[in-house]
Amino acid sequence: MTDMTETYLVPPTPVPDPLTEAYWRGACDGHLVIQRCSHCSIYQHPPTSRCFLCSSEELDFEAVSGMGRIHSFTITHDARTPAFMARQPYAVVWIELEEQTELYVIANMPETPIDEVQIGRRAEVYFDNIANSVWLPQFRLAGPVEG
Amino acid sequence: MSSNTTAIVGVGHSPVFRHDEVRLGTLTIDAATKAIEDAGLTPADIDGVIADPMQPFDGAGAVDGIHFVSPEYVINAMKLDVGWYESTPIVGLARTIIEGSNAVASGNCKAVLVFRSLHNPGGRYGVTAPTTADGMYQFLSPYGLFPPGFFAHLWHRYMSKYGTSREQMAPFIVNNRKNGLLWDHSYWRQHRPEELTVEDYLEARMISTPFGLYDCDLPVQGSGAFVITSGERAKDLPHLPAYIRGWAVPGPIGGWHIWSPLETLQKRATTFATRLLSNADITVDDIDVTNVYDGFSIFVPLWLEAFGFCGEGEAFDFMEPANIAIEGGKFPLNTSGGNLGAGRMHGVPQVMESVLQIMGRSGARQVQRAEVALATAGGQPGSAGGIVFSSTPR
Repeated sequence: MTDMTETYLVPPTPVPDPLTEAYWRGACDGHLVIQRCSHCSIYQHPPTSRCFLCSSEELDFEAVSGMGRIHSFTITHDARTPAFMARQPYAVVWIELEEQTELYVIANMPETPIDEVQIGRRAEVYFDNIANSVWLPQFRLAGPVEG
Repeated sequence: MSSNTTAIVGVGHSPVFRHDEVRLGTLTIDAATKAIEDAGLTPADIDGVIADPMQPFDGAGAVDGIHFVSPEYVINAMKLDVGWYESTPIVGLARTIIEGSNAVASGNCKAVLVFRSLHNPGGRYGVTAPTTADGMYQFLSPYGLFPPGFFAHLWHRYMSKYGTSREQMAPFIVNNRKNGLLWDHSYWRQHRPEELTVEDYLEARMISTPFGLYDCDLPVQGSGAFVITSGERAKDLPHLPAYIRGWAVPGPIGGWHIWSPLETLQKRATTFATRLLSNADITVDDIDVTNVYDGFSIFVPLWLEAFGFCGEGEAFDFMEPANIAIEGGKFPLNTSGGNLGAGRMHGVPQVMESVLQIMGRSGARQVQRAEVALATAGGQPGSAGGIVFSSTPR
């Protein structure tokens, strides 16, 4: 967590469920853990109970590199929850992970100035401790712009 | 005309308010009463009711008649003797019209009332302070992702692929407000009859880039209602029927739709649009007036490309006022101003205006020879549903 102050407002914390528990546990352990089909090997996120591609129910979780590119983004100036009103303007980014095309994770880039949040830039995961034992995967720029 | 042909034969709309100055239940009964009268019927003729009671934000409240309105509320208030009613949350107006049409087409209902009522409490819109996030929200709310952020990224991606700018959106927004000022049920017409300029659009505060204030529809409180009956019976009623020529609902998305990047959405929207045109047995060239859902501005160019009005990446050129204006435009677009020109009535401006155009009752907005009208209602392109109305049955 960056710059915790008394007025820091905690964002809503994720409630893990049977499908997502491995994802959040992975984040707590410092790994970006993505669901992967044991049958056809495709990654999918968010996790589901059946593979979108081959319909297999044999799904596992696997740590990925945490590297990707900004596929798209928005800078929010008008948040709806107090925690984010206190942070606006802030970026929400769609990161396409390098493991697979069209595999996206949504995050913020709290450490990156908002004008540097641009489509195509390389980004890497890190983990932000937002509450007791709750860690959020977040991203920051990785390497030069042209990446 | 086949025995299962259906048509919309009456429409009604309540006054529209910025907030809940008038109770939603009161507005809904007003709209329903007007729609039934408009159809030349009485409440005793209505034997089916369907509505989507969902409100488009968290924490809208749970009191029937105040925070939302259910079919049960309307049935009880109007003493309707129904053989069928249904609430179908989160499906949007098009899909409730489709279900109402099916109830008539099956022969089990003679006249179905469909309504959509939107609640907007006082205070800042949709502000909540949840401490946890479950289901799909566990991947969204902890990151401060809400509407319109759900959709704003689509335009950034579009910009990066096709090179468009906010300046290129401005003429459409201005034209849309102009149309909205001609729409009797527009919040703007009723309360703030102001034209919008390009400068107004460009200088308005940012909400979620690249969306500024006028890329987002204005939350309002109001209700719109429709009466559907059989094609056979429609011939004897006061207005020219707006026949439900064809409809389609897109299949579910692999994954959660909030995650859909631009490219996925484009594929889905094109598949859906192709199916809708095929179901209605028309081509895009047959469409005389187009009312596509515009809760957020980027939806409009994406719909136009999906239906094939223009090629991929070409919609911003296509949307030039000369091309889409009511007067002189080859492709009159969102002739009631849509949500952006009317307020967040969730598909009512699109569907009701398409019906009125077919009936020849659009007044100053009337398009010459409006024989086929396209309406999509609810959500981003490739979600919710669409209907083709025509002046002759299929």
